[in-house]
Amino acid sequence: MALTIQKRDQLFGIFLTLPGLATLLIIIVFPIIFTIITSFYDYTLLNPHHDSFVGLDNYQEVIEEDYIGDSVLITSQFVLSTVLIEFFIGFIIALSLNKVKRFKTVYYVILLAPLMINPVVVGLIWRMILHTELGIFNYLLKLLDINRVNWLGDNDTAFWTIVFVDIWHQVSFMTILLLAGLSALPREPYEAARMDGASSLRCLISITLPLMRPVITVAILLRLIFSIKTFDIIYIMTKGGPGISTDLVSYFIYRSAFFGLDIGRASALSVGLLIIVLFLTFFLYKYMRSLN
Amino acid sequence: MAEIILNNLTKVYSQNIIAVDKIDLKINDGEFMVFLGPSGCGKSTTLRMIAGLETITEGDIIIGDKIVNNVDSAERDLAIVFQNYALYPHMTIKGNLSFGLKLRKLANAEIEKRVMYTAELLEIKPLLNRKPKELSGGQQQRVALGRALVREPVAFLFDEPLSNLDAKLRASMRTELIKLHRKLNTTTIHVTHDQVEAMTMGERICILNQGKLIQLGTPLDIYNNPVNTFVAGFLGSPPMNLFDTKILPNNDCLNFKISNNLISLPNKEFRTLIKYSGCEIIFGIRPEDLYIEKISKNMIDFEVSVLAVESLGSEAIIVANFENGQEIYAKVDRNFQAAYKDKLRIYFDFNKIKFFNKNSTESI
Repeated sequence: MALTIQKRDQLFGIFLTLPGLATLLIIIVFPIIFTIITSFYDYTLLNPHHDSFVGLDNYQEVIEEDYIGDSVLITSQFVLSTVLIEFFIGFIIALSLNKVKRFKTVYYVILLAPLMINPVVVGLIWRMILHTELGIFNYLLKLLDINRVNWLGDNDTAFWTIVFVDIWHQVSFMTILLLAGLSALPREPYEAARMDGASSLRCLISITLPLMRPVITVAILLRLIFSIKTFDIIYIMTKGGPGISTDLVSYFIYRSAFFGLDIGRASALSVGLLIIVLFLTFFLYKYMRSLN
Repeated sequence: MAEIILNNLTKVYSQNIIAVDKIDLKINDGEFMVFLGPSGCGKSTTLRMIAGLETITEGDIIIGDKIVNNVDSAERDLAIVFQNYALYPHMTIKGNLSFGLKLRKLANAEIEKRVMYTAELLEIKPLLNRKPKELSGGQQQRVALGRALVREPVAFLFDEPLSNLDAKLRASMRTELIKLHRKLNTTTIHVTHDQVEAMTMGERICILNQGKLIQLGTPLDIYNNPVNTFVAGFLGSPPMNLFDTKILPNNDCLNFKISNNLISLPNKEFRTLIKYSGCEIIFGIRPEDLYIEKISKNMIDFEVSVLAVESLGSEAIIVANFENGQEIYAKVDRNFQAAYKDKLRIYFDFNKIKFFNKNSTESI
C-alpha cells in the first residue's frame, strides 16, 4: 500500500532524528533512570549491585545528614550572590556596550574570551593567579604594602574568592543575553519618551526595564539553573574547603559517591538536585511559552 | 501655539552625506504644513531636527521667538506622532496618554481631565485600560495621536502617521486630522510621501528633493505651476507627461516636433519662449488636460497609438505611444474603450502646456 505524503514525511523525520535520539537516550536518559533506581538501593562502590532494596532510606539519611543543611545554605548563598552580582555587572556592561559605536567587535571578543575557556582551565589559571606565595595577585598587593592573603585557604575569603572567579567566568554570558535583548529594543518609544520629557534615568526605569523584563527573567533563570550545578571550579580550586566553606551541593554529592563510596545516598542527593533544577526549568519553559 | 522658522537649516551625516541642504522656511502659527518628497529627500530628517531628535549641522530653528538649536526635545514643547506609533508597549493606553503629563508633574486631576477629554475626542475611551498590542493598527494610530494631543503642545509633528494604515482607514483618518486641525488650530507639520495626503491636507506644501527645498506653495498652486520637472513628475497620478523637444522658429509661430507630430503655437501667446528658439526644451501636459475630441477653439492635436486603457471606474486612463515609442498618459471619460494599436487623435488646449528648460529642468 502506498504511503501518504504526510506519512512518508513523518517516517523520514523519524529516520533523521533517530541517531540523535539514541545518543540522548544513552548518555542522558539512561543515567538519569539509573540514578533514580539506584537511589532506592543500598548501592555502594564496595558492593555495586542492585540487590538490597531499601526504599526511601537513602532519602531519609540525606535529610538527617549533619552537613547537608550547611551545604544547601552555602549553595544558596553562592547561587544568589553569583547570579545577582552577575546580573548587575552584566546589565551595566550591556547598557554601555549598547551605546558603543566604534570597535564593537574588539569589545565583544574581550567580553567573550572568558566564556570560551573551559571551567577547569579557569580554575587552574585562577589558582595560579591567587597562589599565596607565587601568585601575581599577592605580588601586586605586596607592591602596595598590603599583607599577603590566603585567598583560597582562608575560611573568610575562600567563599567570596570562588564567587569572584565564577562571576569573572560567567558574567559575559549574562552580558551577551542582556545585550541581545537591549539591541532588539525598538528605538521609537525612547524618542517618544524624549519628546514626552523623560530623562535618561526615567527612560531606563520606565521603558528599558519593563521592556527588558522577559529577557532579564530568562537570563536570570538560565544562570540560576547553571549556577546550582556548579562543580568544576570547586573541584579544581578548593575541593569544598577550607573546612566546608565552599562545599556546594554538587561537590557534596561527589564526596558522598567517591569518598564515602555510598552511591545510593549520592543518587538520592542527585535526584533532589534534579528536582530543583527541573522545577526551575519548568518555570523557565512556562514563562517563555507565556511570552508568545 | 507658535510659528516655526527654519534658517539655512543643514544636516550633514558622516561621510559628507548631505541629508538636508540649507532650508529656509517659515511655518505660520496655526498652519498645516506638509513636507512632501520621495524617500530619502530629507523630509523626516528635517522634522526630526525640529523635534530635537537629530542634531543640527548648520543653521537655526526658531520656535516662537526662541532659537532652539541647543534646547532639549522635552523643552521644545512639541509632540510627534511616529509612523509606527511608538507606543509604550508595556503601559496601558491610559498610561501611554498620561506618561508625558506625569513627567511634567501636572496635578492628578488635571491629568485625568485631559486624558478623558482626549480619549473622548478620539473615541478611544473604551480602550483606556488595554495594552497597545491588543489594539488594531487604526486604534493604535489614534492613541499615538492622543498622546500628542493630550500634551497640548505648541506644534504637532506628524512623521508619516498614516502610511501604516490600509487605504480606506487612511482616507478617513485624513479627514479626521483635517477636522482636528480646524478645531485645535495648532501649528502642524505633516511629513508624507503620499501626494494625495499632501494635496488634501496641506494648507501649504513644501516639496523637498535631495535635501533641498524645491517648491513651497498651496497645493493647487504647486499642482498648476510646478517649478521644475521633478515637481511636475512627482505630483499627479499619473504624473505630467513630459516630452523632450526642440523649438523650431517660424514667422509668427513656434513649432515643435514630438515624434512625427508637428505642433504650432501662436508666437504672441508664448513670448517668453522666443528666446529659446533653436534650443532643446521639455514640453509638459497633464493627463487630465488631454481630450479625445476637440472641445474648444484653442486646441491642437497629435496622433498616438493605444497601448492599453486602464479603467479605474470613475475614469479611464489611456496609455498610448508615439511612433518613436515615447509613452503618453491621458485621463478620459470612464466609458472610453479602444483596442490595442488603435490610432487615436488626442487634443489639448495650448494654454495648459508647461515648458521646462532642458538643462536646468526649471519651468520657463
